[in-house]
Amino acid sequence: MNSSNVQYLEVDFDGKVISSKGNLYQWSQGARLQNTLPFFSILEALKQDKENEVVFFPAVHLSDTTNDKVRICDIDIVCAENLYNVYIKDHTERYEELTDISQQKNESQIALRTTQLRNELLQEKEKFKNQFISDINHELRAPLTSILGFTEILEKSAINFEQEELSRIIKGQALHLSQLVDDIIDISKIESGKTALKEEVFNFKEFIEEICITFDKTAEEIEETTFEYDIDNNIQEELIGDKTKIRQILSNILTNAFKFAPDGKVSFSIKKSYQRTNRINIQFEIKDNGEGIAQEDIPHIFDRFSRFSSSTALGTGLGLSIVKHLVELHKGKIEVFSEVGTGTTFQVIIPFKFDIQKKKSRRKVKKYKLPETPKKFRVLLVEDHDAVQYLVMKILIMHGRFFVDLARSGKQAISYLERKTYDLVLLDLRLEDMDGFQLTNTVRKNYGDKVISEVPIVSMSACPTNNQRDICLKAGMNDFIKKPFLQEDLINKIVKEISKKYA
Amino acid sequence: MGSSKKIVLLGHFGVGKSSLFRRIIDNEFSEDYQVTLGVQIKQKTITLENGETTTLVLWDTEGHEDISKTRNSYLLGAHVFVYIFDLSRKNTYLNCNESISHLNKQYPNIPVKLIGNKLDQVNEKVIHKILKDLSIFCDCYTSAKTSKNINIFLEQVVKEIS
Repeated sequence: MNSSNVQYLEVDFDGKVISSKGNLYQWSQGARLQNTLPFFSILEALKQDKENEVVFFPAVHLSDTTNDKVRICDIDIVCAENLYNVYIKDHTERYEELTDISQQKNESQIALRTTQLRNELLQEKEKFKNQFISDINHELRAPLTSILGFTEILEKSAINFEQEELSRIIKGQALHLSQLVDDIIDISKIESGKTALKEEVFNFKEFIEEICITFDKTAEEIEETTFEYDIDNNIQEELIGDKTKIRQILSNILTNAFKFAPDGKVSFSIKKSYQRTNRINIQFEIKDNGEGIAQEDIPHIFDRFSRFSSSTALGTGLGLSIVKHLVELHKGKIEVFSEVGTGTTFQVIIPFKFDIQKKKSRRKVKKYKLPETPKKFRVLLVEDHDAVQYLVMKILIMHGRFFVDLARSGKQAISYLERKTYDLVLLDLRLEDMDGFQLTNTVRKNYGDKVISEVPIVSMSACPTNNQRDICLKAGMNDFIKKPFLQEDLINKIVKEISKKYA
Repeated sequence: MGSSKKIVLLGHFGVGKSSLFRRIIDNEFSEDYQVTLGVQIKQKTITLENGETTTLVLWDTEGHEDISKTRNSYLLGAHVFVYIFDLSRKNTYLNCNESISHLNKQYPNIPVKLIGNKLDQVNEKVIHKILKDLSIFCDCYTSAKTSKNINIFLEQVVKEIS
């Protein structure tokens, strides 16, 4: 260290300079150090220090009041008998180099921590959103189940033509609301990347026929609309794919076509577009001769809540956005061709797999019916929602072959099961004291009596997940029905499980 | 200088100690983060409640995640310790109760004020709840950027030294 970087001082207990050697600061004898450098107010605190003990202050930023220059110095202060010895060493250059290194290190650590916190906040937000969607879904579906169910009961009662028309409108609106809830949940799942494709073997021709039968019925209801469909016979009978999602894609586009061609024609053609080893691409073409879409609107047709038609047809505005996402999920392709006044054509190409070894087989759908006996079957309904309790009891009692007991909680359900014999338990998954999974687990594992442990359980829920049925089956339940449901679907599920029990 | 009072600013790096320091001394603020190596010291004369003036000598120390790594010489002769954390960075306050206990143990006669800084970057209600759940009880929430509560903070410090 050269002498220009060092200053040595003798200072009295009041901080007055006795002597000064060095060029860092120009202090004259008698000058009070604290007056120019606040650091030296520390001298007051050092009075009680032991003699000759060195107190070291590294990296002290000292401002030079004469030229505003800041020096970064190491300072040693030694308390002698009646004075302080002060050594100031200027290491500005070295500390500035260290500052750069420290700056980079701290900045990257701050950035890392900030990113971690941001991720935590995003995860919290996502968790909150999912919980909110799950809650709102449950809250909406419970009253929807009641509205739909009671409207169906009303339709079958002695009502006049006007009342019948009004109940038809209520049912239509409730179904629309139910569709809207489904769409919002689908969009939310797609956004969070939770939508996955399932691979299952299915009979393609039967699958298409089921869809066409549904839309044949739609065409019949509209009366002025005709519906034609054509299936390429060269397509394999059994394909592997996610038929639930493909049905969702096709039903959405077909529903749109019917909406926008209310007195025209809708055609649906299905043909093979490509085949190699065990893979096949199928092109679905849905064509209507409705009012068409303006060229400038076509690029926005898959945007959410975009509506370009003057038609008053009801829609959620989410359908085509979901369709596009689902086609992309399949690594497929969707195109739209349209002309105002002529109509619109949607072309969708979806890749499927097929088993080249598999022989052709036609799976028969088994029809279930209740055993031929004069006895009535006893069902335990476990449900805490008043309106749903009333609705399900009404449906089962009106059917005429069931006795129903009602448990409002899991605890009450267990008490009933221990006292009476049931042919089936109809179980709401969300109860106040325990959930349906806990109750099922208790029933299946805690009882040696097979009458209890093997009782068929059909769960009901407004749960938004598509694989809820699989989750329920895995948990030991026999079947699952999503709220809101149609009477016919509920009865079919109950009949199926009871008939299997007595088979 | 008999009436000067030494206030030491402590806490993790990047919590805004130097920003608070600059806001108090020069009433200035900069968005740029500039690391502090060692310690910088400046003073400010303020008027106490009884009308007398005193000089606050503020020691803005280098940030450390572990309080025990702070140079003991920087803490000598302090009248108040101010432990500052960043309300927007959880790791700067998770161990603050331990840091305060350490100071109380080593310097039992010196009061410690706990300050949550960068109030402008967080939702006040949310952060109050988070801190309450962690049993962290702040003396003051400040923003060196907007000057929010800086005077309240100074009043609290003055009260300690009066």
